[in-house]
Amino acid sequence: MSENHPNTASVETDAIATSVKTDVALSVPLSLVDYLKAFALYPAGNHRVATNCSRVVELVRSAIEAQPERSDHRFVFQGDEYVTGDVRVPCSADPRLEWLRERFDRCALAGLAFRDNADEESMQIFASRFFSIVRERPKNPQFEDYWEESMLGIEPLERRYDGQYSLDSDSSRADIAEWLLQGSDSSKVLTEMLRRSSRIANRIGSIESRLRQLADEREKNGETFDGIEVDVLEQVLKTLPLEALGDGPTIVKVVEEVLARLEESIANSALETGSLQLGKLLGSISQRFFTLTGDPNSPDGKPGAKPAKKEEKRELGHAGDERITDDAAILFEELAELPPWEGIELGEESEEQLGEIYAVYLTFLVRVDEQLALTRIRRLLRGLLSREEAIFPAVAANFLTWCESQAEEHGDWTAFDRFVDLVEEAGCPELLTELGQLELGSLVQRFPRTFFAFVDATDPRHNTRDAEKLHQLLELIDPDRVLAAEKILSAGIQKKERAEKILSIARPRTLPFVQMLLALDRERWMPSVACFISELPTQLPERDVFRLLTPAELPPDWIALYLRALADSTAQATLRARTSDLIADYLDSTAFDPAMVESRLWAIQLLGRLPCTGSAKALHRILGRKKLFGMKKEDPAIREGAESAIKAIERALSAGGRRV
Amino acid sequence: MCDVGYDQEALGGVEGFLDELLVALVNGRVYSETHPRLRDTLEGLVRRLEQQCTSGSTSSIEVGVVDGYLVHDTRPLMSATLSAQRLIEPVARLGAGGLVFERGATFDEFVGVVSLLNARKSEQGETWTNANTLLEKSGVRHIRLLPPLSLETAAKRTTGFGDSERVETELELPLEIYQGVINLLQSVSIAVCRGKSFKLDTVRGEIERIMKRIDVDPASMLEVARYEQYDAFTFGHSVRVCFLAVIFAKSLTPDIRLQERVGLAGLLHDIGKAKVPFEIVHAPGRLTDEEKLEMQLHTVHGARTLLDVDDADPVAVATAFSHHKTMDDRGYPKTGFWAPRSPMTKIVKICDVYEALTAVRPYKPAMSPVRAYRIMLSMRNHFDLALLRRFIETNGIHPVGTEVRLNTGELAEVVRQTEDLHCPIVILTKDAEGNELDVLDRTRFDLSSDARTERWIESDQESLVDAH
Repeated sequence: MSENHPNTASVETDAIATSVKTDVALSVPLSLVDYLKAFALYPAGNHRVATNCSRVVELVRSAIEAQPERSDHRFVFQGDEYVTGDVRVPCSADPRLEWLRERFDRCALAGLAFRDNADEESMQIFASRFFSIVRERPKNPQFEDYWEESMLGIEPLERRYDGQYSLDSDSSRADIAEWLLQGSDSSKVLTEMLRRSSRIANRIGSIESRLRQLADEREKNGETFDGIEVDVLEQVLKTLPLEALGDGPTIVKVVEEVLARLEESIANSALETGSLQLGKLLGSISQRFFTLTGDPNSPDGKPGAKPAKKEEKRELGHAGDERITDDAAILFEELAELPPWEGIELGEESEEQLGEIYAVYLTFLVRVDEQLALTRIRRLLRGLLSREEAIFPAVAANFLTWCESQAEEHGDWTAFDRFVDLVEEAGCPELLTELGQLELGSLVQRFPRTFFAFVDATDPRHNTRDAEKLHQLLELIDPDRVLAAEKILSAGIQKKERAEKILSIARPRTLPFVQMLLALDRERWMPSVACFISELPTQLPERDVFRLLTPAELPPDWIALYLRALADSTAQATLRARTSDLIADYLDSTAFDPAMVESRLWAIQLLGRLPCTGSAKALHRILGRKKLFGMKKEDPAIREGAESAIKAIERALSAGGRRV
Repeated sequence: MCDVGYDQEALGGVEGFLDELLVALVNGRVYSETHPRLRDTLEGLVRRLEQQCTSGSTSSIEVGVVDGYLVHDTRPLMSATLSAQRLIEPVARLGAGGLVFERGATFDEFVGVVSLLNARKSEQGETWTNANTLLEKSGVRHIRLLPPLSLETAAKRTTGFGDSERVETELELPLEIYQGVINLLQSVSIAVCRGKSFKLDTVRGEIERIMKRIDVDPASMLEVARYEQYDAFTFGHSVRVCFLAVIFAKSLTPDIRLQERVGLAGLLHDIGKAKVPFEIVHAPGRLTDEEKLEMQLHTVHGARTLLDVDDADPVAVATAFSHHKTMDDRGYPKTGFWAPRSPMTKIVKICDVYEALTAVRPYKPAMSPVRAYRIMLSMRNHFDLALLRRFIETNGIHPVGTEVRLNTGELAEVVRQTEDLHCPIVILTKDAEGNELDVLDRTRFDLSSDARTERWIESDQESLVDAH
């Protein structure tokens, strides 16, 4: 915005002729609006365009003739006013003026100067350029970029904010609004803009004079007073929530008001401590002023009112609609700004359609409680989920986030559980993996809610990574939590595949699940449990029984005892006795099998490692036989083994203070 | 649409009375006579009859039924006719020529008439005379069925049609279709109110009829729809949304099956209102916060209702649920989680808002399409903007079926849009003096062609818009 731009000097009010009457003064801009609208609606050759254009040219010439002292006719918009000569008309007087002012603003125009050689052709060039800018809607239009090329008889006048209009006119406020819109972080720029306002400058002058007076008084008393060193305007700006005030006019108004209150406050009072107290006083004034008046531009901005919200939610038929006019020209402008039509994918198969249906069904999944309806919705959802559409995880992720927030805020997990159940029913637990619900952390946090979904989605029997993850999960879950969730877990574990997957993790932390299975159906689950305990690492010497007997050969009562002993050391003596019986039976049953010599020897040694009366008796019984196993060749070795085992038992028992 | 000298106010009063009677007939199907909702309506009828007789200085209201039309004082009651199949059908079935309501008819007498008209065929007398005897026996003295009209009387009664020829040639089929849809919506709403289900196939059948007619002549369908000023149950709104949605869908896809589904979703989008208390749906003033919440539930009720239908259409369910949601997931019902808006919902939402803005309501006049579009454009987050643009371009600033005044003083009806939104194709309906043109004289003009330099639409169409 150059000071010397040839088009700018002519904006000054005193350069505008003063002899034009209001009605005549308005005829040019109003007819110009009619022409511009017709130009927007119809092709250039249309008779309405031509008629309106000729009318503007005619009126311009008449206006020039009516003011012989000037060779041109010019008008400008200043703030909310239309100005030509000495005539000032508020733009609100006619919607067409408002229309023109708003668009001129968008085109960096303050107004136009017509000379008598303006004709239809130059009008057409102007209209064409005007609409190209209006439709382009540049954020910060620069006059030079758009209006450099000359038009015969039409001189565009630049919208500018310096010169005599820059201080107290609305245009300086608009400048500040621009500063805000551009998101400038330079408060100095704003301060400078405000400092140029004469009203603000006067207030500051008066305040500074009072501060100087106070400083002199203090000095006379030999006291210090630093209030004089304070930049009052900067202090004011610091205390005001500028962003909340929103626009330029509001900032100017609020700053003026705050300064006025400050001036009032310090006029008759003594500031004791200078800058510190001044800062506090300003803060208090600003805060009180802002709280009391809210938006000073608002008609509701009266004392006691809370700050007005910047933008209320607009609903159909709400306040504000009345401002929207029945103007086809504006509609066309607005239409031109809309994104172009590029087709639409209609039908149930479209991703958006499926996503919306899915979301609606999910909503009902958690809103409906009647069993019949719920069953129906679950069925519909299962049908949808079977399609594995790409949009589903996105919708489900949002839904789950909401479910979790419900659970966290209200402790209600119904929605979450229903969704997890649904996913389970639909046989697509991998959806939960996609949603991050089957991560270790989530699994532990949500246990037991997503536990079975995780089991279903993985295969620890055949996949070592899955096995490791399940193992880690079981290790991370406190056994008390498992016990507390027994009801849910018992219900879920009954699926054979799930049970097998869990039992494939032969670790002590799996034992509660084993107990649950046996409690549910001992007979059914015993073989699986036998396999499980055969793999389970433990310090119990009875574990070596699995080298003699296959899991299927193990009697259920021994398995039960074994499990008890794992969990409860007091059960170990009973297990020991029962195990020695079991081995004795084994030795008896294999007594005459030459192929089992090695095993028998091992069994005898095992008895030696299971010191108890039962073991000793069993060994003595063996040694008491003349023919140990009917095969002389092996007898010595077996006998030796038994004797050595008895000694081991005796040692062990005597060490424990018992005799055989 | 009426000749000079015609008492529009009186006609409006009779239409209002018949609208109230229709409400009573529908409520009579749903509620017992002691139910406050039915009682209120019947008491309203007693008051309206008295007011009408007082203001018109008459002792009765006489309403004839001629060829499926309700007629009063030799004039067809277009608005009432469109939505009152439930009234016309029993009168015609009994062979009666209409009904007369004499001043002084009491609450109980209206109960008797509503009960008679709502009765199933087998339960009522076979003829109008038997029906009158029944009414008399039950103490109804001020309301009775009129004898069938002789041919001469019928002709006399219909002279006031003014454009009777037009009615027969152009409106008969659209009228039947419109009445059929309204009747169907009434039945569906009654079923929903009673907690019963309904067959979606029947609705699909009606949509098919609508589509066939719209294929041939969209203008006449929209024109018929426009006759209706306001109906107590907002059925007219749903039908108009359906028409608009079908027409819009036709511009978006050639797939007839999809067009039908859009139509179905449009027709049933507000079905949940049947479950919202009547006094809230039709509250005369601003709703309280509680009432607003109740009203907003119509979306959930609607979706739930449609979900319970045997052959539920997921698209219609989703549309009923989401048509008040915005693109940025505001609006209602609040679900707490984001979901995409489907194209079908976007279409129905656009048609729904457009219809609401441009329709007449007891509390507001019709709004011009241009202003409606601008308001819709200001509600940016509510709509898919590209789709809204397409809608505006398809529907035009002078929508099909609209009557426009040309620069020549002639009146014309818009029959199709062109590339130039301002210059549709029109058919002349009245000459510059306001005389109805003969069918053969109804010239067609494409205002976007070169001929526009001779004829164009006058820019100020407000008066015509308000007339609707």
